[in-house]
Amino acid sequence: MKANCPICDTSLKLSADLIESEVFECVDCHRKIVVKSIGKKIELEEAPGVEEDWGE
Amino acid sequence: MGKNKKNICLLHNTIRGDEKLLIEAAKKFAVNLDVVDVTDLILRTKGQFKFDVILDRCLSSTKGIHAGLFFEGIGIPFVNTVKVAQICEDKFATSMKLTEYKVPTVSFAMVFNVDQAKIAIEEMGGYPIVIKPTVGSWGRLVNKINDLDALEAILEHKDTFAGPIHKSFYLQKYIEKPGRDIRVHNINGQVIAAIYRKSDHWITNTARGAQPLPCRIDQDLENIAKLTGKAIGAGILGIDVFETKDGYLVNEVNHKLEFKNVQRVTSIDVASKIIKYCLTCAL
Repeated sequence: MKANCPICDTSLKLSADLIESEVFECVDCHRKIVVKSIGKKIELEEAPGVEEDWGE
Repeated sequence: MGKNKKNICLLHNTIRGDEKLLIEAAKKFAVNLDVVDVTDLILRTKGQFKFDVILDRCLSSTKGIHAGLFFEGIGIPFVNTVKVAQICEDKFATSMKLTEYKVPTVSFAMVFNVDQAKIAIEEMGGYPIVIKPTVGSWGRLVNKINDLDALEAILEHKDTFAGPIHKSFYLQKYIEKPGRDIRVHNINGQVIAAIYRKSDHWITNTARGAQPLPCRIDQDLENIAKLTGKAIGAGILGIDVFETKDGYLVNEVNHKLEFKNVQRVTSIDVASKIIKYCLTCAL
């Protein structure tokens, strides 16, 4: 699977087991990217920043 | 949904490595696992939900608790229960529950202004002291206060710039650690795994770069982790423990385990144990 980083536009080779809502790091700009949808077209977005109530 | 198979809902708002391990683990059981983003749901009592149990993996504690209130309200078991989540989510509530059950824990105080803070710190043995938000994770805004100047500065900033939750000042005695703390996993009263979290920094969260290493569970560690489980309630718990010359002290209890490091360094299949526990809670 291939898609471009929504931030730096680098062409990314995506892992075959990637699933919706999964977060990964762009190999080029190192920003966190979230998978919004996987269908005919893969949609990626910049992952939201850490919120005050996030965590364990 | 397959016949006679239990329907587990893995409720999340982000898929991390931990959730992927759970998805893989579920394949070993005769279950249907629905992976559901909590932000896609409309929680109305008219909604039709066919789940036998919900496994709360929401990264947002607030969203997780609201979802829990809903699903428990309509009779679907929620893991962890809202009761457990609410105790763990608030560090002061955790401290109070540990005290009630006489679990050895770090000395603490809750104060609401700088004058009370000065008195409490003196009673707790003086500086350094640790101040934490009652809600939060990963070491965020956990500060070590070394003297009165720092105390006044931090409290003034919180009073001036922060929201109401940060104006309740939760203080803990600073504990000198041997360059590490211990994370113990207790699932439904069973102590299943432990790791050291080694760091040169006094904050030893793995989210802050601490190195996870396997830890042998001795009898004292098992005892304190079991007692903590009794205090907090049955569920999936991550218990943070300090080693001191006088024995173990519980620091915090977490209700939404990040277990991938534990699974990696101990080879214990925590994910399968979580799925198995969910099945025991299912309708």
